[in-house]
Amino acid sequence: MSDTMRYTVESGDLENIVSRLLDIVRRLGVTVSKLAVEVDGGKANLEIAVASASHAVTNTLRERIGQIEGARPVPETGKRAAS
Amino acid sequence: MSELADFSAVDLVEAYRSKKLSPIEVTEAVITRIEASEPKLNALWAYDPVEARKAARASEERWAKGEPLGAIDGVPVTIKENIATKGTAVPLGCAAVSLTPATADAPPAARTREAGGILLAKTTMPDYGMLSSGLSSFHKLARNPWDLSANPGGSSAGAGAAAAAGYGPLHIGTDIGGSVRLPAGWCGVVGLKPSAGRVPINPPFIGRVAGPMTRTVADTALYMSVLSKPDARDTMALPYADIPWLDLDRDLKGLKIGLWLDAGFGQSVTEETEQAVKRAARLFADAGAIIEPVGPFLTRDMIDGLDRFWRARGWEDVSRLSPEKQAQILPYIFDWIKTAENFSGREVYTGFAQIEAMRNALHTALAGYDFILSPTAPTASYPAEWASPVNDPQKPFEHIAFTVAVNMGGQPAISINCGYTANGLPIGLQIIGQSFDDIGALRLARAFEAMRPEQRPWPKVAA
Repeated sequence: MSDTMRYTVESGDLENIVSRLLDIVRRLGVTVSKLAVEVDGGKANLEIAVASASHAVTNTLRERIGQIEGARPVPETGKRAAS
Repeated sequence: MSELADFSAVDLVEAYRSKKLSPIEVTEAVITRIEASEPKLNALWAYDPVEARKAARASEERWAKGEPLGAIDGVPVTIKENIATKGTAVPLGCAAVSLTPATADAPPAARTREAGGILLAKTTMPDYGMLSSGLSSFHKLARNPWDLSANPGGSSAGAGAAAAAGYGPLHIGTDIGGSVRLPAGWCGVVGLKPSAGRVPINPPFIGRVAGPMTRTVADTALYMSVLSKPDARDTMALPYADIPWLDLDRDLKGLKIGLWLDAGFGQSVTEETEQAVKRAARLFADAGAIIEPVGPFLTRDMIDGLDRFWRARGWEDVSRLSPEKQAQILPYIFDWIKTAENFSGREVYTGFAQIEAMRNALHTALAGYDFILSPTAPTASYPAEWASPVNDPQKPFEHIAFTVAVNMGGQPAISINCGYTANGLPIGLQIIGQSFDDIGALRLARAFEAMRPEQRPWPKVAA
């Protein structure tokens, strides 16, 4: 099972955002199965999938990513991706 | 040689017993300290040096006869102003509260007097005790002795500041979400949230406790031997237990200790705080304890729910006040509470139900461990003028994640200093014990106190 989260980040400082994201992942000790960042002008689309994390940990991951300045979750249109 | 105002309660009692010191000279030294520091610190309310001197003279006579009243006879004490003392009003930090003198001592104040403690003053707090700050519509702005531009934290704001500044050795605060441990952590002192019901209080409420704030673990233990005595007025009190409070030695070998560095919601832990707590954990490991990481186990729903319940509880009181009285409440607090005006019964009940969810989560997390270590707060102190580290009434509890769950769970937890930021501000380590294991949490804190690097000198606040 993996849990995929998608965000758009409006910031010119992509390096800092990715650095913070990796720091959050390290602190929470989650296993990342996919990390994709697509830059579109001053905006970045970010997708992260974590494997085998508890509900509390994925919730915390969402909370912490949401605290990155400019990060907004992409509304889910269907079922949460699972693999 | 330490100044008399800096002596611990344990040392004072021994010095009184051996007639090396008198309660009168110690009380005078603390009064001198207060009068030098208080114009800048604003930790006190209802300061009464006349009554303190009278009490010191009576204590000296008892010691001269070898008949002390109790374990803290002649020791200077402050009490948070929301703990009633007979004849003194209880403003609850709020300008809207009528100043009616209390008709009786609340249990912690009664125990303090019965044991001979010398009450110097009450200590300040924010409106209704619902901020972790020294900001209040009634009291002057309390400040942090380590840096007067910084916040002492709260809601036991004055108590934390008074303990760090050396306004005598014993102070007592109250804690419903972290109000003893947060200011203890931000002021670099020891603050114990006892097990729910261990220290009788009046009025009791879910999660609410009273606990000592001191400079040493032994002083906290000594004060617990006084405060934990029974009082029938607390309908939620535990049965009295004859706990060996002063027996604080323990071997750490083989203890299983969880290390909790992300609560699950709220502010992220800063790098400085995380490193200080990890260094503390390494000291326990070096002494033979087994340290294992504990993942986040609290959720946003839990704190948002509890927040709704607390807003509703506040609005129930505040909505009964006249508009003129409402206008006297700290705007931050009023804005926070007023959002409950149109809450539905379901919103309030589902909020209340999060207390159980939080309690269950902490009990489950603690199940495999003797203790859990965590930061007391995710960050070090913040500007004195702010209401919270986030300073947003619609995000009021981003900083209490590590502390509030323990109020809802009922376990004992203690904050003890474990380092300093680059700016010299203290960083608190929280030690959470199993249910009812107050003495265990104190022993672990005492062991850490003996292992940690030498602490910086206590701050001096001169007018």
